[in-house]
Amino acid sequence: MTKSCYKRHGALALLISASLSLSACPKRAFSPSFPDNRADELTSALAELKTESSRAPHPTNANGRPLVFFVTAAPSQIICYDLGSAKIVWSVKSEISSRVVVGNQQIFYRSGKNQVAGRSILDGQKLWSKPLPEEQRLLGLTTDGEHLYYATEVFKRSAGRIYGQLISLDGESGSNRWHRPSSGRIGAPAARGGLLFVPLRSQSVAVISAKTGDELARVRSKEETLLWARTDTGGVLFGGTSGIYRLDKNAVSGTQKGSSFLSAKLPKSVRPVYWWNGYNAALSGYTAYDRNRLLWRISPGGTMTFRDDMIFVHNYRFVFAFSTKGDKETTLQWAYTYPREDAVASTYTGAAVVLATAHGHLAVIDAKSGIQGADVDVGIKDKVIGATFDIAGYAPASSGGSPRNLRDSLKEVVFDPDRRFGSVKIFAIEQLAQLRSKSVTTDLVNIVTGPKLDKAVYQRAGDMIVERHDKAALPLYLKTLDRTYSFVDGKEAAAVGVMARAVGDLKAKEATKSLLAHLRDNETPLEAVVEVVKALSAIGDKRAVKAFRDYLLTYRCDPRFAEPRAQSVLNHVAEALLRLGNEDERQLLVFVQNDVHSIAPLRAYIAKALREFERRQAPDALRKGQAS
Amino acid sequence: MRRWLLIAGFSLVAGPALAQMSGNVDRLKADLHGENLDRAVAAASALGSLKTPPARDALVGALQLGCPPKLLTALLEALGQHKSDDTIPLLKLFAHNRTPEIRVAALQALGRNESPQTVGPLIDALGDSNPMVRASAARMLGDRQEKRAESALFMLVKRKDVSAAAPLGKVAGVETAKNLGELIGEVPDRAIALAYGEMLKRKEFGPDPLRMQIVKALGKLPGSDATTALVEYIASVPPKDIRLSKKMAERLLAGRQK
Repeated sequence: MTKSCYKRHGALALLISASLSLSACPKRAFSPSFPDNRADELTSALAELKTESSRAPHPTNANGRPLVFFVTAAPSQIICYDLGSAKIVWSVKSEISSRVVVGNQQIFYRSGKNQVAGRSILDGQKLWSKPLPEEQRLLGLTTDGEHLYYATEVFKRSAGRIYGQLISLDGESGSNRWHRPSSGRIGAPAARGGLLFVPLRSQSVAVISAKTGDELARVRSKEETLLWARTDTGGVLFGGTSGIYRLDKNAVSGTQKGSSFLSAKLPKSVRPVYWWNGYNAALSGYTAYDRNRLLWRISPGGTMTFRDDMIFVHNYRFVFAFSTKGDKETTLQWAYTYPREDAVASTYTGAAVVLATAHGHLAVIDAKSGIQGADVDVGIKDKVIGATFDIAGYAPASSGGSPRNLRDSLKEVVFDPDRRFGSVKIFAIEQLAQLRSKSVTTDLVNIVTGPKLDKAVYQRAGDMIVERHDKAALPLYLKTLDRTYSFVDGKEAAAVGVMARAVGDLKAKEATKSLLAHLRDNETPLEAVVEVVKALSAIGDKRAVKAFRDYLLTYRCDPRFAEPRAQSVLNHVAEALLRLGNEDERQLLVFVQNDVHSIAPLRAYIAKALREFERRQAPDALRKGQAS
Repeated sequence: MRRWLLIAGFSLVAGPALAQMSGNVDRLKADLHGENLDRAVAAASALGSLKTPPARDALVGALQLGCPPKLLTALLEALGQHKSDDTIPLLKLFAHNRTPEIRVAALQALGRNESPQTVGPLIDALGDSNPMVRASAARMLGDRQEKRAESALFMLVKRKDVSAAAPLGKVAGVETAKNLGELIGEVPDRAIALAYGEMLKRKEFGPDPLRMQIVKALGKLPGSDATTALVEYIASVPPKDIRLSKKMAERLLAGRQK
């Protein structure tokens, strides 16, 4: 054998031994070849969680105190507040660049750009700090009470892909326990009962032993992207944007149908953020996502349901509570507006929804009734950027008040002067329109005729009025239509377009006079004139024909009516004349079409409309001829 | 004999003139509906000066058929010269045109007609959103000393529309003069000065103690408008007319000139 031959055989032997060692160690965490959806492996891994899941919600900290950790930006500091005794326990300055996670005796967070740190819960004293692996992005931290676990990732240019890493540090000393690299992306972990649950390659959740870092089981969805994992008294939960899966023996099916799966049938306008996307590094810190998300808990054991059949939508200053009872779409139970500032963080304790605001207030809302129990000024002078709650199970003392009327709460949302929340207001309008009260139409009319709203909000309220087809509201519509502009009296016409749509929909002849007045009035906005013309055409009152003739002749040569919005008015008038008029009106249209002074787009439109009209008339004429 | 000769001579001249005129109307009418816009505008102007029913009918017909804004304005101005009550409904329609210049032209045409039917549209125009339109209507109502417009003009001044001040001064009564005093500080001083200035110039406005109060109020107002009002008041009073208010105005003016 030559030297090169030896070399070649030696390399082969190495390869064989390496592959043998790999096959002998199939439990390597995050391995692409790790078998997934194996019922036996999952059942044995989850066995130790049974006793844990039956407990009622409770804080993680060893003393069991309801603690809230506020984080401010300038200066960067953590303030530990005891909600039970209503006192600040401690506050320390530190560069906090992630969420704070709460263990039994310590809290953990990323400090600065590349350190993770642990502090004592009792007094905030720093216990240790450790550098993050170089150039790694932090995806999320978690704790099982005693130790810290965090996931990081790095993009390797040479390989053109992202590699992940799961690391465990001792909670007390910060010393390394173990770390597990991954050749695929991993997400922010969740921890419980000696196990870690790590989103993997957007499709799976790996079950890792917290003690050894070995992978014990893996579930993979065959249907959707899995973005997060979370633990709750309702079990170990994971999912994407479509809903929540429970990690139990059914999860190995990899399908929604075969798994213990739950989703809330919320209105379409609600963003389905069930939990923070574990693959998004930005969400390892406090962001706008904390201010706009769903709050929920799962009932322990049995059929998977939301705790107390409730799910909450937190959107900056607003909270909406939905009942998830039954299979149909969720129904809104109550709405709450925090009056002054944004709630930067929120939690559902199982009995209450608690909001932490930008100026350091804590608002406690009874989850079932929506009654605000307390609005505590914690006494923080600096602006709060986020907060971590360790108050699971916290129940406010009953305030004794009666629940607020949902209609009033929704109106409060709509009329809120903060103009940032157009989509929330639209949502409130849609919910208001679904209420059965007779006064809802009046409310909606008050909305469109009230203080100036964003265009989209106004339009939605208008749509809701029209969709109600409320004949009983006709006198109100007519009264509203009678309002006209006058600079002398400081009066404004109100919602002419919306009212025109409403009366047109009802084909109310009583409205013809007011509509004609608005058609002639130069103060009527062009958008509203279009609706007025449509309404008059729909009502079909012949009195409108003369007004339409005058309108068309007056403006047919006006170059301002060549602009699309204005042109649409003339087009509708021409259509209405064809619809309501007779041969005289058709002759008039022929004249307008042929006259060189008429604006070109109008001439073109009328030519087309006349052709279309003749085409429609031809079979009728033929039929009449045959009949005669 | 000479008179008869004159009449006979006139009828000899007027006969062909009338025929020529009606021929003119037909030609001008053709120009109105022609493709040349400038000729159409000139024709409208000519038809305005003819002031005959056929000329008026030609103008009305052109307005009813619709035309470009430039011609529309010319037609309205021309129709205004006819001062015919028959055209009021049509002018009222154009007083609500979406183009402010056309509204102004229509209102001016209405304003030329002294008929009581034109007061309503002019007062309505005080509520227009366009200040130019409001000013035009206010001016015409003031010039006509239209008392029915008093409260609307006062409201305009209250809403800080200075263009209504002088017209208000032309129609305001004692009560309005007093109420105007309460607006000092709330509305521009110019508005008060213009309104009071016009009131003082009116011969029938009085009695003198009221004029005296107004003069004193003007004396307290800063600015050139109040000075002008005092100067014009003094100039408007005949030298023989001895008024305490005039003397007071002179004294105040002298004080202001120091």
